[in-house]
Amino acid sequence: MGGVLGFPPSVAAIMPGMEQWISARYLLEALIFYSSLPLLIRHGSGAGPEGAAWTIPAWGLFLLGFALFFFEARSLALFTFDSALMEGYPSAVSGAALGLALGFSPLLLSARRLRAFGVERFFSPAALVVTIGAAKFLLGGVAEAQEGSILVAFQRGMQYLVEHAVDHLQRLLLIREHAFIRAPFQGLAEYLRQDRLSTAIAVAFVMIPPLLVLVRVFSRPDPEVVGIRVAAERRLKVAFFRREMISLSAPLLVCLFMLMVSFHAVSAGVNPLSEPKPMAVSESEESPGSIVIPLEDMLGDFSNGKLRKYVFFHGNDRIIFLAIMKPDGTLGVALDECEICRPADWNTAAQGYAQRGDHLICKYCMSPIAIPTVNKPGGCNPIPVPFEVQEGNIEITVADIVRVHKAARALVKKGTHL
Amino acid sequence: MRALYIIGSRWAMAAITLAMGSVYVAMTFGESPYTRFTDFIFHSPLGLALYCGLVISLVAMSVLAVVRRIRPIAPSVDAVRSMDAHVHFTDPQGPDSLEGIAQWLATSGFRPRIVPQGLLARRGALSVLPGTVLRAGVALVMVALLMGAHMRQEQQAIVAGGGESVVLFDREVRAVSISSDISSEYLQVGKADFVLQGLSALMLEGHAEFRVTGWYPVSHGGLYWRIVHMGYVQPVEHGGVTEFLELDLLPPGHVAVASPLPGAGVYEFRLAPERQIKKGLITGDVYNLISPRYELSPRGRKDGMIMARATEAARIGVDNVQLGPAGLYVTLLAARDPSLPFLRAGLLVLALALLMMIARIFWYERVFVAVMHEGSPLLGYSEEFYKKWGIYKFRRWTSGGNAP
Repeated sequence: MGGVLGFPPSVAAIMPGMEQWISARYLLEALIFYSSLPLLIRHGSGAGPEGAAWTIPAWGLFLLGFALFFFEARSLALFTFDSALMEGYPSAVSGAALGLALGFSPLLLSARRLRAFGVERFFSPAALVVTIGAAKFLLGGVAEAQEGSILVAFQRGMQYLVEHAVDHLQRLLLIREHAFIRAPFQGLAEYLRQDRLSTAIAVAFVMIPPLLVLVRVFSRPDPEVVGIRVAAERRLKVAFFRREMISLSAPLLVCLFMLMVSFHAVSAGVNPLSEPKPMAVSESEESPGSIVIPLEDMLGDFSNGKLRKYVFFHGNDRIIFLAIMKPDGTLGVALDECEICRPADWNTAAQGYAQRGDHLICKYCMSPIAIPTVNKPGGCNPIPVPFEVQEGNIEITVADIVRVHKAARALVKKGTHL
Repeated sequence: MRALYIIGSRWAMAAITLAMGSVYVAMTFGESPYTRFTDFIFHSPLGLALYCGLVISLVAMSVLAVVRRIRPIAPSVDAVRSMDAHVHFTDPQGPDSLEGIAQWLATSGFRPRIVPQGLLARRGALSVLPGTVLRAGVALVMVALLMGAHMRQEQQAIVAGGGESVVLFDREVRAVSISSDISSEYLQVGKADFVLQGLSALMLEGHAEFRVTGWYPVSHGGLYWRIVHMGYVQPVEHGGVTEFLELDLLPPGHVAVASPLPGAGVYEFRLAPERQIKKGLITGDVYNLISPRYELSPRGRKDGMIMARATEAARIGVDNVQLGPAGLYVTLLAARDPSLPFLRAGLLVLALALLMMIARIFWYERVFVAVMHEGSPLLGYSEEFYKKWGIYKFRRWTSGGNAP
C-alpha cells in the first residue's frame, strides 16, 4: 500500500505533503513504542507463571507489520520512481523488485530456524514492541532520507511547553519578569526554562516504558525451593530462573542503549552548533571613520537572537568581530576571540565562537558563554568592542575596533599548543 | 461507590490524560499551540469536561486510597495466602501459636494486635498521606487555574510620584512618592545588565496608605498591586507652561521618543554618560541616574543633537527651555483574582507533599497477618513497594528464626 501511494506520480501528487507524512510517521512510532505499557499490564514480564506462553493475535501482527513497513515502502517507491526517470523505467522497476526479493530472502530461507529459535525466550510482548519502537526512534528519518527524528520534535515540543507553562504560571502569580525589575523566583523560573529541564522530562518520558518492563523482569523473586530436598536441584532451579531473567533483560538493555544513542544525537540536533560566515564590512562613506551595520538587513533583523559575524580589513589586519542581540533587547558587539584562548594559526576550526541555543561556545575550549554576558570582559568572554546604536544602525568607530584588536594581539594568551 | 471506583481508577485518569495530551499534540500542528490549548481546556465544553473529569478523578483516587488504607484487614487463610509471601509453621521448632508470633514481631518495633480471627501487625500506615496530599495539591492548583481563567481581571495605569491620581477598578489612587535604588554614579560596563531591586511606591487611596513594590504583589482592598515598569518624568518649562515628558530610558542605552515642545518635532532621548572610564580593554560609562543627562537627537536627522540635563536650561531649536528635576513614574498593575490564594495554597501543598515523600515517617507500609490453620500458625507478609526484597527478607526471617 505504501508503494502504491508513492510510486505512480498521479497518486503521489494528491497525497499530503512531506510534513504531514513525517508527522504521521512520528505518531505511529510513538504508538508502537508506548503500546508496550498496556501489553506490560496485560502480559507481564513474559516469563514464569504470569506470561508463560504469550501470543500476539493475528490482527496485532498485521498492524505491527503494516506500521513498520508502510512508510518505508512509500519512500522506496518514491526513490524507485525517481531512479526510473533517470535510468529508464523498466530497469529501475525490475531492479527494485530484485532488491526487495534479495532483501527478504535471508528471512524466508531461515524461517524454520527462526521459528525454532523461540523469540519468547528473549522477548515478552511488551519488550518486543518497545525494542522495535526504540529501533524506529533511532533509525527514523532513514525512511524519508532526512535527519528528522521524533525525539528532536519531542524535545523541542517539550522545551516550548515548559517555557510557556513557566511564563503562564508567573503571569498567574503576578510575578511576571521584567527587563530590569527583579521579580521573585526569577532565578528559579530562568532555571526551569533552560533546556535542561525539558530535556530531562523528555528523557524520562522516553525511558520510562523500557525501564518499567526491565523492572518488571527483575522484580520477580527467585522461585521457592524450600520444599526441594536435593540441594543440586534447588540450585538448578534458581540458576534456570536467573538465566531466564538475563535473557529477558538483554534486549531491554539494548533498547536503553539505543535510546541513549538517539538522545545523544538529538541533543546536537536540537541545539546544533551554529557559526555564520563573517560578512565583509568597510568604513562607511556617509560616516567616515565608522563602521555602520544596519540592525535590519537582507538576513533579517537582530531580534531573532542569532549570532552574526563580520570581517573588517584594516591594512594587513583582518579583524573578525561578532554581534548578537541579547535576550533583554540590548546588543552585544565583541571581537571573535577571548583574552585567554589562543589556538594555533593553522587551527582555524578552533578559532572564534559559535552559537548553540542561548550560549556562545568558544570553539577552542568549548566553554559555554551565556549570551547576556556578552560585552562583559574577562575570562572566556569575547573581548568587548565599544559601539553605539544610532538610528537603527550599529556604529563602531574604526579607531576603537583597531585599538581593541591591537590590544588583543598584544595580550599573552595561553593555549598555544594546538 | 461503583462510580467512585470507575472514575478513581488508574485507567480513567490515564484515559483522560491521554485525551488531553492528544488534543495538545493535535494543536502543535498550528500556531501558538499552548495558547490554543489553554483556551480549549478552560473555555470549550469538551475541554472543560476533560479538565473537570481529571480533577474529579484525582479526588476520587485519593478518597479510594484513604478508604482502602483505613479499612480493617480481616485475617483469614485466603487473606494470608494472597499476600506477597506466606509460610505455614508446621515445624515443631517454630512458633506454635499466635502469641509466639506476636512476641517475635514485638522485638522489632511492630505492635501486633491479636483479634478473634487472628493477628495483625502494621507499620508505615501513614504512607498513604504523601500521595494523597500531592493529589490534593494538584487538584487545588487545577481548580485555581480554572477559576482564574474565568474570573481574573487586570488593569494598568501610569502614576508619577506626587502626581495626579488614577482610577483602577473604580478606585482612585495616587502615588505619594516613588523610591528606588538608582544611584548618581552608576557604572555600566559595556552594555551590562541593569537590575533594580529596591523599587517601591507609596500609594494613597482616600486616607489609607499602602506600599506597592516591584517584588511580590501586595493585597489592598481586595485587589493585588504590583509595579511592572518604571521610567522618568521630566518636566520641561517653556513660556510659563510646563510639559511633563514620560521617558522610558532604562536601562541606559534605551531610546525614548518624545516631543519636548509643541511644534518642536519629535526627538529621540537617551541617557548620556557623565564620563567614560577605560581600563585596558574595558570601557565603562558612568551615569547619573538621579539627575540624568540626556542626549536628544531629532528623529530622522543626523545633525541637531542636543545635550541637556535635568534642573538646567537647554536650547531646543530656537527655544530656551528649563528642565525641572527628573522624577520617576511607575506602571501600576492592579488585579482582581479570587483564585490567587487558592493557587498559592495549591503550590504550597504540592511543595509540602514533595517534602513528605522524603520523610522517613511516611515510607512504605509493611503488614503481617497471621491465622491459626490446621493447628499451627500461617503467617503472611506484604510490603507496599520493593516486593521482591520484602519476599527475600520474609524468607530469611522465617527460615532463620530471626525477628524482622
